[in-house]
Amino acid sequence: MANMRPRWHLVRWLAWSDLKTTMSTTYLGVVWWLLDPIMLICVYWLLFSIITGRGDGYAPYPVFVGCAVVPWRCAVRSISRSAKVYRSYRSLIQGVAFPTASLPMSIVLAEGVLFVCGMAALTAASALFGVSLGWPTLQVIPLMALQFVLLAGAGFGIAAIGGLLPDMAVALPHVLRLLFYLSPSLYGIDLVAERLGADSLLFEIYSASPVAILFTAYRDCLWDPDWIAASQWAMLAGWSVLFFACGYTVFRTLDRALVKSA
Amino acid sequence: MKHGVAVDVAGVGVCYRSRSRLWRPATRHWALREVSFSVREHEVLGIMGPNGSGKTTLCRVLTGIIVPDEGRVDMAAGVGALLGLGRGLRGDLSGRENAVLVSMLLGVPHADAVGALEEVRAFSGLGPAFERPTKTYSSGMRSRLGFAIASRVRPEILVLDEVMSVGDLAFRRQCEGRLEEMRSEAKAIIIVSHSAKSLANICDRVLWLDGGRVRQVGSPDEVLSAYTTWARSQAVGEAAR
Repeated sequence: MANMRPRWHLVRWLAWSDLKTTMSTTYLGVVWWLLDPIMLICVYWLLFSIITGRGDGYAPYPVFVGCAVVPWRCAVRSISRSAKVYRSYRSLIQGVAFPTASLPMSIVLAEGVLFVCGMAALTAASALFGVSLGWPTLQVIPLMALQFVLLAGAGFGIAAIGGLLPDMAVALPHVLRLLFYLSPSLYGIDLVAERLGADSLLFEIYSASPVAILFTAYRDCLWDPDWIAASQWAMLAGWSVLFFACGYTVFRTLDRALVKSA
Repeated sequence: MKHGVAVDVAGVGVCYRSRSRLWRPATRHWALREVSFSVREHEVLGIMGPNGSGKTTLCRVLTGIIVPDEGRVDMAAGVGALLGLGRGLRGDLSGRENAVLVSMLLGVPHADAVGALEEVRAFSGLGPAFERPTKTYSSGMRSRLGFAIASRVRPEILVLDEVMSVGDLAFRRQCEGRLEEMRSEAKAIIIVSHSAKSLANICDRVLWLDGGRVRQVGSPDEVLSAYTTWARSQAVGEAAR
């Protein structure tokens, strides 16, 4: 059990060394932490709003789409890197008895730092596009904290399953891409309600998914600031706790065998 | 555990299972089988054997990195290990930053790791290079840093895997001095090495592993002479083929 409990100083240092590596491999270094999400938003803005005109009902579209792609990028990177953690850190895992739970945690923390920068850039963009930011905007802080807990759980679970089934790392990007396009990322949840029927069971299930709740909630902070309903907070907190509990349990169950076969 | 025994290994077996593929089922391979021995308090036990004999797997079992599939390992105190120097070093971090990170990986609290930086810098003899990213280091410099960091951790039971041939002659002497200090402080030391000379100088007893099983345990003279004869006969056999 001692090998499972991550040590926070160690997690922090591993995350920091991760970030330092990404900084030192590029000329612009830390500037990319802000530039990367802005470029990502610009790509979607260009494709879906300017070229195809699909974002007309969601002005300002860069902020609307940013509220989905910036958190999603953090999720995808955390999950994809966690899936390969036993392979990426093989030499370390084979040679040192340390709490392996620190590894997925450090990945999520490092990606979390980049996410905070991305959200700062998005908030600046939101102000630039004339969105009237106010107190509801501050909800973004607890939202990000809940997303961190959710991703930490997902990271643990995916790390263990990825160690057991390496093929998953190949299939995962496709699954995540599908999930992204199915979620209300490039379009609003109102469009889904229109298609599925606002009172249908299918829409109830769709809107209760953690991805739909998160994207909609981020838009309530930065795109069209409004207070997030208590029921949404409760559902998101429930998802986060569930993801963390399940992910950590799976990791704890499989870790011993995975360290041996690393 | 019996009085005066620091490490008790009884009937340990470790089985590795290869990954199954679409057209090929998984295979099993016993890296260790029915390994039993004990190390008395303040004793230095050497482990030797040819490549693939299970030495590193045994070290991983002794340090708790992996749990054996059969048998048991009892330790009278906390165990620490130097398994391959330079593990955990990150190329983009400086020697100083790596010293903190690797110390924490080895279980040293953050404050102690930071507090020991000057000692690590002085022992490693890296001078100004201590502040440079370790990707600019030669393999000898990486080993020096690895040894300086790892030997700062003073566990009661120490497992050393192939750390006897670090750096140049002067640094090797320095390392031997540090090992001697550690020996006087530790409850027991287990050393894995291919160097019969080093083992003969340091160890009280030597264990010879072959094919994952204990072939012989005894005084260094007795075991090393049997091992050397066996190794020579193997080399002659190989040459004849």
